[in-house]
Amino acid sequence: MDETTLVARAQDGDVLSFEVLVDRYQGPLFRLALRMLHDRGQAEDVVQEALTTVWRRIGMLSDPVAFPRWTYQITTRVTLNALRSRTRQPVDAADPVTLDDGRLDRDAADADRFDPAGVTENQALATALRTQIALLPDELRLCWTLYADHGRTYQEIAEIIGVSRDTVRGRIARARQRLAGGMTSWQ
Amino acid sequence: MRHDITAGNPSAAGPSELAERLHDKISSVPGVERLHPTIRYAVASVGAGNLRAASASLGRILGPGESTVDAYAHADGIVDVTVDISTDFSTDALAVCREIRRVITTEVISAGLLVGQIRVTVRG
Amino acid sequence: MAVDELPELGCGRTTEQVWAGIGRPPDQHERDCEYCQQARQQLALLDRAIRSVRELAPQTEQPRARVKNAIMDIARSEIRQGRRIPLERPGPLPSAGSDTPVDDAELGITERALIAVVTQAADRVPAARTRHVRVAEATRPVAEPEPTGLEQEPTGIEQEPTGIEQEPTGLDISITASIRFGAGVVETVDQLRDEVTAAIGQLVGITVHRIDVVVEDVHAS
Repeated sequence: MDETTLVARAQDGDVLSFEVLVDRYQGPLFRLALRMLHDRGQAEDVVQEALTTVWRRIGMLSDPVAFPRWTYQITTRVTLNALRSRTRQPVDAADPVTLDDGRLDRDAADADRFDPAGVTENQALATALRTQIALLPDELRLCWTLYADHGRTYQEIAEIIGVSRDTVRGRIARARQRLAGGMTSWQ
Repeated sequence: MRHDITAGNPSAAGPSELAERLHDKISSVPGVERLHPTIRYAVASVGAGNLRAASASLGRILGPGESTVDAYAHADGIVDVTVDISTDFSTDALAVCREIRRVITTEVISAGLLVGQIRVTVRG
Repeated sequence: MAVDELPELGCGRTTEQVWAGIGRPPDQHERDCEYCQQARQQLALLDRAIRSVRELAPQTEQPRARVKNAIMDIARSEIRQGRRIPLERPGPLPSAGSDTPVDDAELGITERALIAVVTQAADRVPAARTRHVRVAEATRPVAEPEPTGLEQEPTGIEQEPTGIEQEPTGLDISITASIRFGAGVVETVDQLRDEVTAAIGQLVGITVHRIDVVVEDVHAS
């Protein structure tokens, strides 16, 4: 069912339509929080709080078309609050487990059986990039993730975070520069 | 207010036991998807030791086996029963509610009590 | 570098410019520029890494079930149900002068539950996307009793009007929908009415008094 219809119904109080929205959004929002917090439990808490807030305030959304941007805005706010209020998780570049992407390694390990050389290199590249992303300062990592993983435009990211479009553009460019520089040590 | 009606009838159950039995029987009525907590008489409808259920976020912290049926016993053995359900509309709502009413009447009477006001609501 | 400025290479080009060009062969400037060549190399590697992450990343990564359960538990407990409408008719409703409608019918259904029935029925019409549904109980004043021929002679004193009791006449339903471009509007609206009437009749048993359909939008298939 198209999102406009689902959102309109959820605005009236239709909980079944809201449930479909939860199904569609909980994965991406979880992955966003996970990239920022590096902790599954905290990321789950973020998703729960964000989507509960979405339900409670959905009547305030004037245009159903703005739903994705609004939902990401709420999730980003909850995520940044969680980041600020906890003691910082040290990110150990040498420890893939800190990246909470253990599954990345396991999936690749399975694939190794089919194409040892090619997949291992692929996997190493991916792990290296993941490490670099995790090392980015929060504000750069947030913009990068919204752009690269969630396909938001610079304008949308600006509205989600509450900064100018130029600021977003600058942060993504600086993130890209750092990531590219960080990858050279992999070679 | 609430007390066990046992005088002259050793098989009569206390109100919270009746509420729990009603919860089980009503849940089994075809077409009943789930029972929902009714807020107003929350305290009266749960057993002792479950004070948490009386708070505003009632629905979520009812523990397993907790009743979502409000069975309010008056001093004279008359029991008012309120229950909110959602239905899957596999059979028509009126038929489902009539069956629930029949179940309530049967259970209250088997508990040695008298049927007062019954209120069954299908909610969305 | 100011917050909003883009990172620049030694030759004056920005990394953003180089990034935009890594899919094509190097241009005239880039062929002769060490800075750009180095940047192209690094950014090409980054590009490869981004693709690897996308290929290997488990996009099926999901939060555990407890998250959705908690969200939905709260959502379900916070739905506005609207008015309760009797499923059986005990008798006329109290007069319009009472503060709140007294609803002491033993068996009732909420407006929200009725909306769910209507929505499900409306969704059986493929050409329509139903967005908003409202359901309310329609009422009218109770009809005055037939004269029996036994009433008293007029005394010249004006009679009090009879009581303004209301009786229910069924459900008033209003639907707002978008219709598929090219579908017949009249036909589609008729289908909506038919499906909704049938569903209410089968699943609820309350008479349908009136169904208003407003087409507020058109969509492509």
